[in-house]
Amino acid sequence: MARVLIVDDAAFMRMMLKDILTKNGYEVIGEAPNGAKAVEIYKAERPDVVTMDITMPEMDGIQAVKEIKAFDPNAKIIMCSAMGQQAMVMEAIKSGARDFIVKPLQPERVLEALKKVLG
Amino acid sequence: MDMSQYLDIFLEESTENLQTLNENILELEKDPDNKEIINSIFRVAHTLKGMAGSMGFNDIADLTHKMENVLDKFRNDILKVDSNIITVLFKCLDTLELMINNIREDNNNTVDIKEIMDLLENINNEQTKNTKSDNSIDFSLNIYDENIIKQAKEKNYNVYIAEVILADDCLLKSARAFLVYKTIEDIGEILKTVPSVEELEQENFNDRFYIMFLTQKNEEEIKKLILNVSEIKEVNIDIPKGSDLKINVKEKDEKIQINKEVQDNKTKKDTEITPINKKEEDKDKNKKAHQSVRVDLERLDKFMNLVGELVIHRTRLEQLSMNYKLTDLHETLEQVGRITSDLQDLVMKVRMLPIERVFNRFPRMIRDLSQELGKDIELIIQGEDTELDRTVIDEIGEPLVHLIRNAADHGIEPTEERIKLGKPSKGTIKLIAYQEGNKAVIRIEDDGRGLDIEKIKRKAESIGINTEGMSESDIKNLIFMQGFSTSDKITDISGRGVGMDVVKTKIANLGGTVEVISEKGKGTSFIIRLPLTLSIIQALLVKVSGETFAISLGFIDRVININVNEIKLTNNKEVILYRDKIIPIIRLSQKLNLEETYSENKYIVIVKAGEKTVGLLVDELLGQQEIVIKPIGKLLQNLKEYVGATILGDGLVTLILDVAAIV
Repeated sequence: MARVLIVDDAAFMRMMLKDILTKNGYEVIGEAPNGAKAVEIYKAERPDVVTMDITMPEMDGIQAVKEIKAFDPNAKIIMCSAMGQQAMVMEAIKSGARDFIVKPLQPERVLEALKKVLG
Repeated sequence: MDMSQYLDIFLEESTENLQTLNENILELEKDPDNKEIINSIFRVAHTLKGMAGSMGFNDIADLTHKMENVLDKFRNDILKVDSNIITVLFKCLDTLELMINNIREDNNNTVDIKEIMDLLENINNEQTKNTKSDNSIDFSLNIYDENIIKQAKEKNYNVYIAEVILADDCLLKSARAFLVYKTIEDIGEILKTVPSVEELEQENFNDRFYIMFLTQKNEEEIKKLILNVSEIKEVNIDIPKGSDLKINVKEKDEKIQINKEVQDNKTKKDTEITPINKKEEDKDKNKKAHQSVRVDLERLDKFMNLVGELVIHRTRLEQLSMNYKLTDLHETLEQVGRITSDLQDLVMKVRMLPIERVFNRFPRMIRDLSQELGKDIELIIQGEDTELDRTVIDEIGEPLVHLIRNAADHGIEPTEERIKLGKPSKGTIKLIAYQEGNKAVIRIEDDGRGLDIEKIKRKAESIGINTEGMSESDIKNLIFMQGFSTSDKITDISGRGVGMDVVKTKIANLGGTVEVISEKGKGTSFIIRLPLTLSIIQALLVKVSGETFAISLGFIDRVININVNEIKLTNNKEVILYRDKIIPIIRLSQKLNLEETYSENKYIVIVKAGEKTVGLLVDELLGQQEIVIKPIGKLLQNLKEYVGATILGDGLVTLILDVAAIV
């Protein structure tokens, strides 16, 4: 069972994602409301995959990707982006994100991305 | 869920959307490369589809969906805009309109959309064939690249071209493409992408793109890697055949490259200019949307009626205060008077709509007509922001359609004939609206062959009208008589001679007039004059044989005091000489079958109706007053001399004279 870390500043989004994931057999090992917290949890828990929001307070998703990648170059991170954040998504990909999903989240898309990243 | 509560707004909005679509598609035909227009069409069609879908009108949703597919092909340059497709699109709009009307009338008629769906499907399929042949992707390589390939091959690298097809509803396509790009970059070296990397970044591509790269991995491995990116529908790996690629592709590509550049520049220029306008437009739209409220017309009518009643009672109060000479009351009433006038102005303005509402369907009509008739016709519209009462707007469409059809069919000559006559091959029809006093004027002018006086004369005589002694303009105006058609052939575009009199009646019913000015070989103009508003007018009250009548000030030129003996007879007609002009006189008492009162001192109200100036002989002037026109009811409908009745301050019901009918 793959272990997932959910990072999003909106509790609603975290709840939704958690719902989708747990219903489909993933284990959510942690939730982080910002990038800094995400890096902290990643280091402690070493999850298999991270879903990462882009715009967040304190530390944004892109910075978090950079820091997690620096810590673990094999980290698998999927960005969660809203429409119109194309440039940010590319920036995140350059920083090492493996895939991205676009909000509003469609469960099948989320699962597809996770499945593929976990290969 | 009960959707009926949304039905009204759905109907209204979808009608608006259809109108926008009509306009935009017409625009698109003129400017096929304008992406802004295509996008806007796409947006509107999409809205329509969404609305129809949520209302459960699946036929409409299906049809718009098919339309959208075609539009999408335009948008992505897969399909070229041509007049055949435009015609099909227009047909779609007509069908949609029909369907929406059926819903509005709740008549359970079903429209068969199979035919039109098939047409759209054909267009869609045609395109796919085209893509296949068009899209034989060209990878032009420069010598440098070729050298790399050569060296790479020696080192056991293979050259591949990957065709990557994104999932249908993929969002952020360029980020997706970038992800694929990066995935390939990790396993090899990318030589080239089609479209170019810049274009990929700007999302200048449809659902697929191509990447040429070098790698040591095999096809299966590559495919798997790329497919590991989500929202990828399909990946096809191709091994280009070395030598073919170089020679073939290069020559072809130079041409394409150049074309492409030209086009790119063009689109760039277009997009550079349009966004600014676009933004402003959007801003305007937003503003408007926030500042307007949709109101049921019935409520407005009620409002208008109530204001009308208020005006009546105000005048009654005024009269009372005059009778009893109550200064206090009088002062208050003056205040009330001002407020009612403001209120009246306001409700009148609320009811006014720009005539654009009517005019905006004509460009499309002219397009269809010119195709049908094989004539080249240009429609020029001016003053579409002229405002008219809602009732007039609703009613004036039909007569205008008739006049414009006539102009296109009978007025404008066939192209060859025009060329022979030394006229510009393109015929012009002008539709002009403007305000003149308290009237709105609409002119329909064509530069066609003009009315043939001889023909009208012959026709008149054949149906028993003596044209002797008639002025040319009188003869021309005979075309408004019942049963009058001089066209040799009857087409389904313009009438069988039932038209012009209907046009005239319709306009007269609105309190308007129509006349024709025409010069043989140069063209014909129809001039329609309409009252700006229908229900409250300024009127002059006059007395004839003891009865009070109201005459709309709109018709009145001036009023003069005369001695009855000044009336002279010429040609058996009574006239007066006023400022060196001979003005024919109509004795209202005679006209209205009243007993004439004998007095030497009478008044002449000089009225103008259209081009005619006539003096109406009345006994007494009672003064000017605001009156509310009330219809006189079905029983008395046949009284052509009156447009309606009104209630005066003293409670007296007074008839309002229809000047246009009397003179």
